[in-house]
Amino acid sequence: MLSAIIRRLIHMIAVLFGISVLVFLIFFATPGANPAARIAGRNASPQTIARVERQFGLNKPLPVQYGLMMKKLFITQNLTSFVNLGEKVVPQVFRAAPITLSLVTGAAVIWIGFAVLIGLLAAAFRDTLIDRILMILSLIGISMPVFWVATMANLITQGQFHHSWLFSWVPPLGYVPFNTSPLGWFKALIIPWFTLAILYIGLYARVLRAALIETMQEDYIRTARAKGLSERQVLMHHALRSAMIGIVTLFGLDFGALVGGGALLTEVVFGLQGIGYLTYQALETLDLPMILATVIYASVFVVMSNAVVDILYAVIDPRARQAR
Amino acid sequence: MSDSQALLSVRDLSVSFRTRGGLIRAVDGVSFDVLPQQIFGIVGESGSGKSLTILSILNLIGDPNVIIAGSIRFAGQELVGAPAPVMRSIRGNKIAMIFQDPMTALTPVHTIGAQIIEQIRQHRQLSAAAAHQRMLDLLDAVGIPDPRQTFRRYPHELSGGQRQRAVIAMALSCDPALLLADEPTTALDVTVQAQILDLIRDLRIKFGSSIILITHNLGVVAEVADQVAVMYSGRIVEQANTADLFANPSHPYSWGLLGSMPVLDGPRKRLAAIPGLPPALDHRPPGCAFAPRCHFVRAACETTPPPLRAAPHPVACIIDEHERTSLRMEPLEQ
Amino acid sequence: MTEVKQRPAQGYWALALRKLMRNRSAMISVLVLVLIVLSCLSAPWYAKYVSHTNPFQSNLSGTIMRHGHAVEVLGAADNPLKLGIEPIGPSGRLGPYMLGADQQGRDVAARLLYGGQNSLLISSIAAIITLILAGLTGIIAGFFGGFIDAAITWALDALWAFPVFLLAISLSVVLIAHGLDIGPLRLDASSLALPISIIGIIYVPYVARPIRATVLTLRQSEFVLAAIGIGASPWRIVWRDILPNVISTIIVFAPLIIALNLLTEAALSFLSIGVQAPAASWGTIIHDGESLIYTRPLVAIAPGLLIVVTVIALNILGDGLRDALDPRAKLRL
Repeated sequence: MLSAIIRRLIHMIAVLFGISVLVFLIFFATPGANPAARIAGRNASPQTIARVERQFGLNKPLPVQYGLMMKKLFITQNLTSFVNLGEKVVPQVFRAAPITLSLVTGAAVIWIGFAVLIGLLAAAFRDTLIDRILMILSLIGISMPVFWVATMANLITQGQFHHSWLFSWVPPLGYVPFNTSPLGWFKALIIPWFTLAILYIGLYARVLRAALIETMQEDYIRTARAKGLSERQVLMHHALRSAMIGIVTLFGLDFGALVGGGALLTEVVFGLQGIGYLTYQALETLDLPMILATVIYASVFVVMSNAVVDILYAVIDPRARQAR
Repeated sequence: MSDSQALLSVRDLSVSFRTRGGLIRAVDGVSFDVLPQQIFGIVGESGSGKSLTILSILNLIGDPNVIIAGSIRFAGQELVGAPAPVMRSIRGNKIAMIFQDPMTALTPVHTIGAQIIEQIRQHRQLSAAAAHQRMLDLLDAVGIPDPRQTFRRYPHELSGGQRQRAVIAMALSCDPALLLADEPTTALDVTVQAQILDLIRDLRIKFGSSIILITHNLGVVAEVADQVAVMYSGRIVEQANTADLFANPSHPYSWGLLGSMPVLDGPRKRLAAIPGLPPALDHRPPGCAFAPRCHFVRAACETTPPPLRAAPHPVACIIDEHERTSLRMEPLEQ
Repeated sequence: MTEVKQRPAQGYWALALRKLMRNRSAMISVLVLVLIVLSCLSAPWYAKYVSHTNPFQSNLSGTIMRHGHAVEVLGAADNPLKLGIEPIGPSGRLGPYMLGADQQGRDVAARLLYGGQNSLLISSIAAIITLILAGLTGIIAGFFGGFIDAAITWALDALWAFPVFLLAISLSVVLIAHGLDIGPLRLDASSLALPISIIGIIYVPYVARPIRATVLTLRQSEFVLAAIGIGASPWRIVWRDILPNVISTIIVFAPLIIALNLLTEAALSFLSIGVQAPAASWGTIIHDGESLIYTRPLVAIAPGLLIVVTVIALNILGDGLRDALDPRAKLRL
């Protein structure tokens, strides 16, 4: 058991290492990339560029640069931004983390709740009008680009109908820390929560419905009915429990990816300065240290959530425990 | 045997399916009675309609295109067309069922103890502790070793035989008067089969239930059943008590079945297979369904389905009683 | 993934096609998609004969006739202080500026059609790249096994470990900023080949994995083992027994991957790292529309609606194909 954990950890570190190298190469080594020229600015003279190179150590061989970046990022934690000179990168990331966490957690609660409800109803009333309507709504949900939905949400809540009673409570775009005002925090996040959730509700409802329908064909469902249980009991205690296994693993992966900065588009359109927003800004300005920091941060979450999901799978599916 | 004695009384049961090609009759006018504390065997090959017959008792066929007609009376209650709440109070309670494959019959994500307790508490007002104790007693009664540890196990952690025992325990948890067993030993090893059959035989004594046992295996029937009905192509072609059936089989299909069984004692001879295949359900011949394969077929066999005639025990064949004895000894192959 | 115990019989494709044609919603989706494609292809005619403008050129000081008087394409805003400019609104009739103008005075309807060309082109070609690459790697890895399989799986896992969207953004940012200049290969920053190849590559692991799994299952199936037993060459086995099954998986994946690519391209273009100005795509037009959202919302609404309709149609078609070809397949989308 312990050796399995250690092997897993080594695998995770290897993956993170690979990703950090890949990011570094993409931004520092792509033909045409010239970080020094970017920092120096447009039309900088060759002397300026050379000075910038020396100052930031960009004239050293690539592996050395990589080593230096990694050291500053993880060990001495004083990696500074190329754009906002002097500003330390790591604290910025940690300041942005709670914002992303608030956004993603709230959206997750909403999307799991609705998706389970919709998936259950659609499977229970399979092939009736209810089922068709719910599935059409889910289909629409997964077909709308999230940044467009966000823009539409802004249009409605901040623009046309802002002064009507429906949306006058919506605060201007941006994040309100929970400590400052819990109510403000809530009001600022509720529209972004639903926007982010719509896509995932559609996706998960469809997956759950398919999983439930498949599970309901199993023999043990017939046994459950033969025990005298009502359809509702059969669905909730026997079918759902089995069908949720797939959903939970899916959720683990999606949640991990979002917390790591995958909600970039939502954050940008709603002006929430979370990790995704930070990542986007860094990419736009080609702030290489910040890019390294955010991408590695994101990858850590993805890799960790993969591992957590594997462990979770053994917990919730008794059949998987044998393999451990 | 009068109707008032029978625990279960099936009259003219037919199970049909709506398909794009029309109505298909899988079970065609089946009638039989099951007495209290009787083990009633139904024998037939795949597709003879035996599973559908007992599934329709509890209305568990689960196909939206099925039509069940006829009468199934259980302790005075008509089951065909009974409303769902009535069926729910009977299922698992007065009539219980066990299925063929114990691996897929139990929900994989709940422990066997939890699944048994769920059935107990569905029909009985017992406290959690009392239900728990009853569950342990049941596991013990079916011969599961160490119930106090085993109840925590998940279905996949048990062997096939243990799983089937757990399924039987669960089915008996509310003292049903009637147990329906659909090929309970088919998915098990031969040695385990024998144990389960012993268990089933004991259950009649321990629990006082009647059992309808479905199988394609004549050996099982010989071991365990009191009464046997032989089904072919959705109809009962012969019905007798076990001793009679084996001593005096009267339908050509039964002759074929028995002739195809190897005999441990007696001269070794080639196993006679019945030539041909059962008719497709949508192409049943107008007369006797077995006529196309019957060695002794006559003109009348192909026009009208022979009714069950009661001499000496119900047989669906027009061959006269007296002719039968001599015909039976004829070898079936040319 | 699928449970195929024998080679697909003759007439398998014919039967599948008939099943598909009986599926009403799938047929409607095909119709909708054909209409969209045809409309987008008619962009040059629209620009020339209907809107009479060049949708790639700014029209900052033009005027057109509306309701009898000349109206400025980019007029003063409609607020008390006359601050800022406001492009002309939709006319609602077929003709110039039917859906209004964007902040550079360009005809939105015409740009939508040209944008559709780019969006659909990028999505489709990227999908072809993904499906071919995934098919090849899946088949080779699954069939030959051993070291080759291990190497390919490791590469796919490594690629997939990088959060997909971030990879797309990172590659796009770098390549779009500088263009690509490797040896003989020179791609200008505005070349469509850049988003096409980026989007084409990042989803390869996603498709390759199920294909590899299918091939692995098939490899163990009786008919393949029999073929190996009688000494058939590997290429022949792949061609006759494995490829038809993989092709049906690929066909089912195709519309879904195109839809995924469409959404990805729109997101990249929205962030200005996809299709580059002055070219248009549905994503860039949404980006343009964002700054006009409170005054001329149609600029942002219209391309989004087009994306939604196209993606819905592709999904319905994908479901229909799956039902026709392989009702037991499990796809994540």
